[in-house]
Amino acid sequence: MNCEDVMKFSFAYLDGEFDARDRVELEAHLAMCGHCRDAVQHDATFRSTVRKHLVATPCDPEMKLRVQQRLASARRKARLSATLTVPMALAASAAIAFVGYNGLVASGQTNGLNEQPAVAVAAAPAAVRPVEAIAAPRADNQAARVAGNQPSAVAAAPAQPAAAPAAQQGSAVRLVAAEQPVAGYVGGQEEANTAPDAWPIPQARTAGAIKSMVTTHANPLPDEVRGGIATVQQYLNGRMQGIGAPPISEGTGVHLRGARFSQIAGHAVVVYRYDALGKPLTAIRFLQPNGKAPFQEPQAAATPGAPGSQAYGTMSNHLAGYTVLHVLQRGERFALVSEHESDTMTALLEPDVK
Amino acid sequence: MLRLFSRNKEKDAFEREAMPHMDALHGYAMHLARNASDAEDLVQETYIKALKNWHRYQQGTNCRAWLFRIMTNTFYNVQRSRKRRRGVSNDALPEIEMQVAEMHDDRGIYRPLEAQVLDRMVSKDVLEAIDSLPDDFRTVLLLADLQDFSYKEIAEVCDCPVGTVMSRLYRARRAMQRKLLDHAIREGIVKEPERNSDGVIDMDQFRLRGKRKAANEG
Repeated sequence: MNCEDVMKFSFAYLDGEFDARDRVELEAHLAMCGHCRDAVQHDATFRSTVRKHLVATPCDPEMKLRVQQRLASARRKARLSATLTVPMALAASAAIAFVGYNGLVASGQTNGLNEQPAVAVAAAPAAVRPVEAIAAPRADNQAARVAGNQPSAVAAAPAQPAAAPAAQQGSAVRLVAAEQPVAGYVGGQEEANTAPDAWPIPQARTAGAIKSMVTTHANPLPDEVRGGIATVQQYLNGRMQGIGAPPISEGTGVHLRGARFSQIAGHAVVVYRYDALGKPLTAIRFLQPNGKAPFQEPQAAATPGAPGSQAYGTMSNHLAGYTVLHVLQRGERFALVSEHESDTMTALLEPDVK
Repeated sequence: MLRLFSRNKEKDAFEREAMPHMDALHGYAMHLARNASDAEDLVQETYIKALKNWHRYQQGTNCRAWLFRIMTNTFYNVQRSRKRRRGVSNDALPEIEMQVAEMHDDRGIYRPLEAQVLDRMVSKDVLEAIDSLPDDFRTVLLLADLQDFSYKEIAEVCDCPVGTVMSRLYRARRAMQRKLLDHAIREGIVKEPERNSDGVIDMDQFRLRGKRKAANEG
């Protein structure tokens, strides 16, 4: 994906119309292109500001009453002029020829919708994104907007990239219909490469990868799911099997705010965002090369719960005021990024439960 | 007795499924019709039609999209009959294409809005920018950003391909950005961005801008 594609499709991405594969591609570009990253950030701000100001004016009660009254009178008129008696249940079937005259249609009235095929709209639920977790945050927005509130907390409205839009003249981005959430985050490509030397950590220690992690933390793209541990976990479980709990326990001064899928140095990751003791903290979980459930340390897997096995080991780097901590926790690899010192961050980790 | 029972059940279903969307439909109608009286007419007409066609709607499926489709169609019917009466032909389409074009540099790559413009987006300006969009563009923008429909749902509501939805949404938003940028330029918050980096002046663009400035000040 090049810059031109990114800018053409930035709104489609922010609107949540991308499938997992295209999203990874776009985010890989963003991780390496500062110009596009800024532009997409601007578009995200623009989009969320528009949504913030676009509040639906609810009906006043008098108007609701007038509509009800009009409907009641329409029903009365229809009952008076009913010519056929057709039970509602039968009438619902479009196959019945006289379905138009069910006692509700006033005589002689036609409307522009008679040619509207019931099938087209009945098929609409396929178009409704099947993932509850994505619908939920928006439903919250929706309720807040209609009520006339201006939710400042969601001013940076979360983008929920899940399904993909249609293709335009030979662009690099494929257009596919909304996908059902599948086990395994990247739909399709199997990579049998799970040998120890495919372990991400050597690569994740390179300067480029560390810089990438800091950038992900400092210039965050919108979350895909906002909420605490339960919400986030439900969202992630809907997308891949075998994903464990987030690495940091909720507690006083520590709260999970949201999560998203992304990539670091070519590795698919889950990015968790926390507020931790007054400062933002990002936890990055490395997924398998094919985007499947997280890596497990081979030795830990072989000897689960063996006495003396390390709950976690750490390594830290410092870059531009940020600490990047590499953590091994219950056999899984994480990276934590924050302005806190490594001791503070270590203290926040989930203790090993024996 | 059977008939009465069926009718009540059906009435309950209508109450349960269709009525809760009135606020959302009203919000949409306000921005489509751009005045409260026409908006209420639109809501009433939509519900009457929904009632009449309730037997065509498969219960438990996407009632919201179904109602919005009815309202959108009703709106377009009203617009068409009004235009016939008033003899108004077009909808300011060339202007939107120009606004979209002005948000891109010579290579066709989008130039992001400056932070000052984004910071200064107030309700009044945003709503004016939306309400000044032509009908086709206003509808998709409202369905996406006011109602939070997916592209696929918008395509069903507007009865057009998903690709068209995406293209219209893109252009609607770029045109809005241009309007907000124009506003910021008039307020003196930002300067007109350089069109060509090598200093060559594009005479067509220069003339176009001059015309629009004159139109704004006249």
